[in-house]
Formats: sequence, structure tokens, C-alpha cells
Amino acid sequence: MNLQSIILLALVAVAFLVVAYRYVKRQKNSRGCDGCSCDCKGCH
Amino acid sequence: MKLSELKIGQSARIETVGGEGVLRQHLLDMGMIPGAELTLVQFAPMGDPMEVRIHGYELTLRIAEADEITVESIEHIPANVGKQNAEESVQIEHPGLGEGGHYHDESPEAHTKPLPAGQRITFALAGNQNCGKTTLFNQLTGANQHVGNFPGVTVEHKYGTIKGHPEAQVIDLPGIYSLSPYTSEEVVSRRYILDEHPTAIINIVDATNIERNLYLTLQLMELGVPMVIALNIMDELEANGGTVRINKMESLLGVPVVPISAMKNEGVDELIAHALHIARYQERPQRQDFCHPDDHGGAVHRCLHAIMHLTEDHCERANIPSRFAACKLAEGDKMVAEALGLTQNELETVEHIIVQMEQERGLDRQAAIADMRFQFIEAVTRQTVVKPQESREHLRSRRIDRILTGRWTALPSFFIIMGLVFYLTFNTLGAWLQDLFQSGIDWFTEVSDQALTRWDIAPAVHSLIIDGIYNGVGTVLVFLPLIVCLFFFLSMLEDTGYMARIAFVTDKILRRLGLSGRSIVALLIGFGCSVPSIMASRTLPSERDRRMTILLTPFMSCTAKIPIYAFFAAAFFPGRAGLVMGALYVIGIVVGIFVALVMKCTIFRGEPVPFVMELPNYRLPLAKNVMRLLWDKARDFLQRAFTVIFLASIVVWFLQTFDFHLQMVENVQDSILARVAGAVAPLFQPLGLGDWRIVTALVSGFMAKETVVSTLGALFGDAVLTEIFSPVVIFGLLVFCLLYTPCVAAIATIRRELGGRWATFVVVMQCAIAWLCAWAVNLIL
Repeated sequence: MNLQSIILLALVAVAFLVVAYRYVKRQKNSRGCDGCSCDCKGCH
Repeated sequence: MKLSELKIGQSARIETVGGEGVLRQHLLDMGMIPGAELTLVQFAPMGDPMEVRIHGYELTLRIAEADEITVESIEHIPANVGKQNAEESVQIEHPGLGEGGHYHDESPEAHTKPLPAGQRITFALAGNQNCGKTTLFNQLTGANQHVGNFPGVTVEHKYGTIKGHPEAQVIDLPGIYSLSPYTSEEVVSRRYILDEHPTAIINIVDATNIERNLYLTLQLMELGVPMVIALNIMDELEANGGTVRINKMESLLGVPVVPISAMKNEGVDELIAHALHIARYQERPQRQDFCHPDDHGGAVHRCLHAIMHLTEDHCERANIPSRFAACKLAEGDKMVAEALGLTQNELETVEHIIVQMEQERGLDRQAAIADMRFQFIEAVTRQTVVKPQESREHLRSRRIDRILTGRWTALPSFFIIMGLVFYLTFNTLGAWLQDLFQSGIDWFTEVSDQALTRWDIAPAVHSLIIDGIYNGVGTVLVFLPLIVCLFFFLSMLEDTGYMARIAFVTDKILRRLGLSGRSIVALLIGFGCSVPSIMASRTLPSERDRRMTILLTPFMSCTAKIPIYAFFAAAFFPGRAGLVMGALYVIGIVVGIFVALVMKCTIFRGEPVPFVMELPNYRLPLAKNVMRLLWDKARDFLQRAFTVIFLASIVVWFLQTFDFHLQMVENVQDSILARVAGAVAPLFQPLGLGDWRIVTALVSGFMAKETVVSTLGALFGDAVLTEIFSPVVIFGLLVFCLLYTPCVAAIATIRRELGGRWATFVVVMQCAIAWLCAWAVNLIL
């Protein structure tokens, strides 16, 4: 695997971890109601 | 005669209000008190419910409730054209309540001990439904909360900080008509004001309907909490020739009154200054006593003061204002009686006092207290309010209602409007925007693919980027325009005021299913997203109706399922895609109706609660509000695409690319995903959906419905689906997707509203119904 492939893979891995961490954190804070196409920011 | 026997256009004076319990209290709170004059405006298309005009606003109620109210016919109530209601009086100097340098509270601690600088101040924003609270909240805090033209848009507290005053927090409470708890949202507001002890209250009053709005104001003043009145929609009142003598009203009520227009941001700075002042200096309402010793021999006056003296010690211990407690005890409010912890002897004494009052006053307890409040309000408005001509907005509403709620035109109008909404979304406007979006995404994928090839990226990473992420996220992203379009039209229905009319028109049909007309609003919102729809069910006054509505919400196909329908309909039913999608929506509604009928005869026996609702004037939604809503919806969807769908795409790509030894597989059949999903696949064999890839997509749909499409896109790749599945099997799959378990966000909301057992029940019930219906499709077609 060449250098540019490794860099790209690392970037995807970091993005995956950051998004997953933030998603789980928000799910916990919002008691599960998150990421839906809704108005209920009151519960977020 | 009974109220239900009135003819359209006929006016009458209320003699007695029958019925019992909270509904009767609610009718009284809405101004249906003995002596009040009303006019019958119209009946709903199927003869029930009816619309009456009382205290200058439109109220709907069912014939069964109207049968409980007796009236005497009177001459036509004269229109208020140019009527100078305010008694001529000498100019009154502005009392200056809530202003610097004026300290009206005589208690020394009020002006010698203001709250320490920097101490957190909490304002409760309280008012009737649909009087502009959320608009004012947005102006005060700079927030972007959704504003509607339907009673009960706000169903939860919303917090914000006043711009430029970081120490001042505002809580936007759901709209209430009184502090007698009738619906769960009213309980939320009442509990907040009584238990959380806000530093001050900003009471927003609709200037175009002062009489009814002041009813809540008086009860808030009884709490003895510092308060300022924001007299909203003053611009509309003045534009129609009306006005309010602010100085006089302020001196009569003993609280600061600030005329504002929340929509135009007029008077809001002055309101903030007054609110901060009364909160810092704890300037309480100067008046809390609204009964008069000369009113009908002073029966109510003596009764309330006797109860106040009797329960004073209990009120102090329970930290409940004694005037408020006395009124609530006199009304028969059990929650207050329990909170005070009165002894049996005291309870009996209170009862004797009330019975004596009823005999002297000639009215029952609830009616007597409501009458006392409305008498005071009438005296205040007589001296302070110059009634406007019939407003342009009201005239316009009456003209539009001739068609939209007319006997022969209401239902056809409803079907035409809803048909138009779906036609514009799926066939013209939305579809055109979708094509445009698709071209953009295709171009971007092509460019990225070429770049990766040029940079000689390893095949595994190349596949991850293009087959995993681009294919997964891109497949879903393309449906953004459809979803935004449908939300746009649904919000237009709500913001213009038509949603309330739909409730009025469809009440009789829904009652046959065991629901109330108000349920239709929550169900229609369900076509957008189940989560706000479940939340909207809080406006329903009975727990039975609320539960039933929540359980039926998932049958209304939400926008997240649109990508699934559009994806398969385009591939398998070319030229008939619109028809297939329409059929799916209809199937959802029909199955929902069937389930409602079963529930009505089994777990939810009994009658739906009465339908008492205010019909707001039609209004043109503000372009700013509409744009804000569209942006919110687009942002929410994009956020979803780049979080849960992005994650799911990578996970699915990984599971289908590697085996249990983490070796890349030549054949996808050997992947981790194929092995795991293959174990569950036999369950779906009778539906013709035994393919492990379909099973995987359905399981991923539990997180978010859109991921069904992204997962299928990733798993099937370039395979021609039409060669693998027949149209019948795919239609069965679409029916299954339509009806099976709602997404995790909706389940979490149901759990929060009804508890874990009901949430589990919904998941199991939906999956079972979906399986049976998909099986039936395979059997029949």
C-alpha cells in the first residue's frame, strides 16, 4: 500500500472515530432522540 | 333551549353550563360562562362539531358538549365596528410600574435589597396558545424555534438567554388557557411556574383577544410572582382601528403593561427593560384580589377570603400563595388540596364555605369563580380597550372558511390540497430538484473516482471511498430535495392555520375510529417525521387519546422512507412510480385505520375526549420563518447523512469486504455480513425476501430508514436488481419497510412519552403487522 493510500485510509479512520464519538455522545445527552429530521430541539 | 339547537348566525346568551370535571372547567376557562353571549358560526361538514364565536374569537365544540349548555336566544350581537368600548376618562399619568425610579412595592426589602448584580434571573414566558410566545422567545433570545399557527406548537420547555443579558434566562412554556390542568402541556406549564419558582413571569397577551387572555393573567397575578404583561399583536389591533389605554390598564392591574409586536420586533427592548427591573427589584403585582364585596352580595368575595384565612398556615408550609390556593380550592382542584395537606375538619369547613357561597351566588363553584374573574376582566376592558372593527385578518379568514370548512366543499378541498402537496413533492417540484441533485452527486463521484485512480490509491481504500462512503451517503443524499419539499408543504399547512381546520373538519370521522379531531394534526406531522408527531400528541387532553395517537403515528409513512420507495419504484415500476408511492401511503393509512378500530374495541375502549379548540385566523407565513424552517430541515438531514449513514456505510462496507479472519473476500457470500444475515434470512423466506442482503438492509433501517437504501446500494453494487427480484416481491418489501419498526429516534421518543413497555409493544406490533402485510401481498398479487 503506497503512502497516499495510507494517508487517505488514516483520514477516513479519524473521521469515522470522531463522528462515532460525537454521535454516541449526543445520543447519550439527548436520551436517544438525535439525528432525526425533526423540530424537537427542546429535547436535544 | 340547548346550544346545539341554535341556527347558523343566531346569537344567544348562556344560561347554564352542564357537564362535569375538567372538561367543564375547561369550557368555563375558555369563557363559556353563564351570561356570556355567543353566535353560532357554522357546523362542520358532517354536522359535528360546531363553531361558535364568543368573546371575539372562534371556538369549536362537539354537539354532545353543546347539548349540555342551555342558552336563551337574543337579538344579533352587534359587530364591534368602531365601537368605543373604553369609557371616557381623564388622562392618566403613566404609573411607571417596572421602571427605574418608581418603586411601587411598599415593602422595604423590595427597593433596598435588589437581587445581587449578576445573579441568575429566570423568566417564565407564559400565555394562551397561539398568542405569539415562541415568536417573542425567538426575538428575546435570537433562537430559531419553529413558530406555527396552530394552538399548541410548543409542547416542551425551551430555554434561551436574553440577547445582551447573559444572566437572564427565558423559558418558553407551552400555551395554556388557565392554571387548571386540562391537557398534559398545561400540567407542564403549571408545574414549572409553581414548583420551579421562576424569578419573574413575562405574560404574553394577545391584544386582539384581550378578554380571554386576561383570564390566565389574573391567575398568574394570584401567584404573587413579579410579572410584566407583553401586549402582543398591537400592530394588528391598531391597524383595525382599535387601541388599548395602557396607562389605565397598568394602574387597574397593578403590573407593568408593555405594548409590543413580537413579529415586527417592536417594543421588545422596552419589554426587556421592564422585565429585568421587576425581576431585580422583585416588584410583585399590586393587585391580587379580583373579587368585589358588592358583587352579588359579596358571596364569592367572602368565600375566598374565608378560605384564605383558614388555610393560611398550610399555604405557608406548602409554599403556595394563599389567594391562588383559595381560588383553586373553591374550584375543586384536587391537586392543590392534596399539596396543602388539610385536615379532615378543615376540608369539611372549606366545603361548607363553598356550599354557602353556591347558595348565595346561585351558581356552582366553578362557574362562580370563572364568573368572578370575567366580571373583573369586563370591568378592566370596558375602561381600557377600544374595540377594533372586524379585522382584515378575520374577514379574510371567514371568506376562506366558506370554502375550506364549507359543508360541501370542506372534504373535497382537504383531498385536493393533500393531493397537491404530494403531487408537487413527488412528481414536479421535488422530483425536478432531485434530478438536479442527482446530476451533481454523479458528477462529483465521477471526478473523485478518476482522481483516486490517477493517484494510484490501493484498491481496498478506493473501494472504501467509492463503494462504501460515496455510494452509501450519495444514495441517500439525493433525496434531500423531496424531504425538504414535503416538510415545506406540511409547515405551510400549519403556519397558515389550515391544520386547525383539518382537525375541525375530520373530527367526526376520527371519532368513529376512537380518536379526536386534534389527533389528525399529530398524524399529519407523522408524514414528515414521527418524532415531532409523537411530541405533538401532547396537545391531546386525554391519556387514552394520546396513547392511541402515538401508537398510530408509525403507520403514517415518514419522509425518511421516501428514499426506499423512490429507489425501488424507479427501478421496478417505471412510469408508475408515483402510483406505487401513492398506494404505499394509502396502505399505511388503511392499516392504521384497521389497527385503530381493533384498539378501540380492545385496549382502548371508551370514548375520545371532547373536542374544544380555538380556530386561529389564517395568516401568511413569514418568508424568514419558512426559509429558516427549510434550512433547519436540510441541515438536520445533512447532519444525519454525514453521521449515522456515513458510519453505517463504512461498517457495512467493512463487514461485506472482510471475513471472520479479517481477510478481504473474493466473493461477498463469504463475508462476515453474509454469514450473520444468512442466519436470520429464513424468517423472511415466506415473503420472498430470503436474500441476506435484504435482511441486512432491513436491520440497518432500525438506526435510520434512509440507511436501508445506502446499505442496499453498497451490497448490490452494480447488480441489476430487476433480474434478481420480481416486482411482487419488491412491492412486498416496500410494504414491509412502510410498516415495520420505527427508527431508534422514534422509539426513544415513544419510550420517553409512554414508557419502555409501550415502546417494546410498538416495535413488536409493527414488525408483526409488517410481516403479515408483506406476506399477504405475496399471497394476493
